[in-house]
Amino acid sequence: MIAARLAGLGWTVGGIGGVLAMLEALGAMGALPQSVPAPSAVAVQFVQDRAALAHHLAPTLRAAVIGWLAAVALAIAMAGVALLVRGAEGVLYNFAVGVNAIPLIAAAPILVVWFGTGPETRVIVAALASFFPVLVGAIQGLRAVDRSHRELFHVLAAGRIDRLRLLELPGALPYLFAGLKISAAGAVLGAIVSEWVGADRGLGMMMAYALFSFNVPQVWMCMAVSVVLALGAYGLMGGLEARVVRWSPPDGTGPGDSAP
Amino acid sequence: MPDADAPSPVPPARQGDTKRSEQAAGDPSGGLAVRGLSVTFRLKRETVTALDGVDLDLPASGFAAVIGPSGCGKSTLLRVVADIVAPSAGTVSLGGVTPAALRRAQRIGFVFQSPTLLPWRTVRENIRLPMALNRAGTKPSQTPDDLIRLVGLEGFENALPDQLSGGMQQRVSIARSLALDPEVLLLDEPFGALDEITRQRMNLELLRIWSESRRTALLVTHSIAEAVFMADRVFVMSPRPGRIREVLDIPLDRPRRLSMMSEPAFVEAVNAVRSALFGADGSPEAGPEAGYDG
Repeated sequence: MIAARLAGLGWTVGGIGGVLAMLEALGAMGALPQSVPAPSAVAVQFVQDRAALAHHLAPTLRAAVIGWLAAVALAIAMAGVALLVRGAEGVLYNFAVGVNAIPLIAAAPILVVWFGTGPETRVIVAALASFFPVLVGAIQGLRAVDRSHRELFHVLAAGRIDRLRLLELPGALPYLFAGLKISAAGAVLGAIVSEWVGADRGLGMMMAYALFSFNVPQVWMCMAVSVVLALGAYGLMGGLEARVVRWSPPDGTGPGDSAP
Repeated sequence: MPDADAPSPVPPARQGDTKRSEQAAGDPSGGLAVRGLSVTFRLKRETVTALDGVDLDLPASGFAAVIGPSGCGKSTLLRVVADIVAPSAGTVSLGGVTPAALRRAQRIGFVFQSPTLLPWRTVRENIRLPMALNRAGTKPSQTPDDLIRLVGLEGFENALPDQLSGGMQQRVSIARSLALDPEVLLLDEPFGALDEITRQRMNLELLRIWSESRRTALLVTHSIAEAVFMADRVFVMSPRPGRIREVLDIPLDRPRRLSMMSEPAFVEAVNAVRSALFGADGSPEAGPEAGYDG
């Protein structure tokens, strides 16, 4: 399995390297359109902008992490209520589907009007972008207990707390992690969207400025950085999952799938 | 009803375990007594009668088997005794108390058809699970490691269930069922999913484990040979609605050995169970697997 994963990683790195090399060659021949810079120009831009990038990256990362943590806490609490309170699941689910259906690109300007261009708006949009996958994962996971395990705990006369602690929560982890991985990447992208719309600082704002000043390599550089951030967040969760969930659940949403 | 003159299936007094023998020794009501048990299920508009007027007696620390065609309600019978399913009519008494009371006291050992292990807990942690849930405050007579030795899984204490074969997983499940010194051991076709050779070996293991702990044991099976080989008393059930068609006491000595399967007494008992299941003329209408589900 490790060999297969290394091979997969090799193919991924090789494939990206190949595309970059091809783009570089095309750029040297002058065959690229104006909107696509040669990879080397993006790399040069990265080195030039590194101080500015650090300045803009910090608030984006902070907003993504805070927003994500808030969303995870709220989603897990709601999943707990959905499990323990009869009839709550449908209501909470509908609410969550509604929240998830809000177009962030339209909501962000309104939030800017309400909360200003400071960190609050970024945090809220990051939370909105990461809330739903965690809730779905947590609710499905807590419900995923099979009948024979339920009967086992019944025969053993387990109390409600013990059933939650020893059966439902551990069983929910693979599902929860599926949601955490998706939402970690979503939080980064949510923070960037929010900054794009209006912020005093941030990677999204840097991206917007680069776009409006026709600095094509800088736009691509920002894009590349945000891709790396989102993948990194996903990978971090995958790594955590591999450490926490050491068993493979019957439906295969487990450690084997955790590689980004 | 079992014949009062039948050879007593009560085995010799159990060793050790003074606490249990105090309350159950010599007590004729110490075993399992089922009276007029009926269970009906409502499936959409239909009412299905799973069990109809079942009477059953098993002396304390005896080993009984329930055999019948698929869908005859034998698993339901076991589930009523374990307080998983509520009876529609009739009573069940386990050493004088109801299944619900015995379950709440955490004195029922149940082995499911599938091992039903928690995949995130190691072998030892799975066996320890009932102890982690122990609210009665009883002190188990055996530690998890004692139980691991009992079922022959030394060296696999820290393995996860995924890493074990089906037979080994079911051993873990048996060890778990014994963790809190149950008053009664209920086994729902525990080796049905195993191959014939493993199954035979597991049956011998189970008898050895049972002879060391001497719990009242009730085994549900659809193998005639298994029922006769394992039990002192075999309850033969009719197809749906489930009724006890015949009660047969098995006059074989303990410990049971595989070589006994060629003895005349064994063959006779097997024939008796077979004719109870299929009728004297051997017509297949009531044979095992006549229904659809287990």
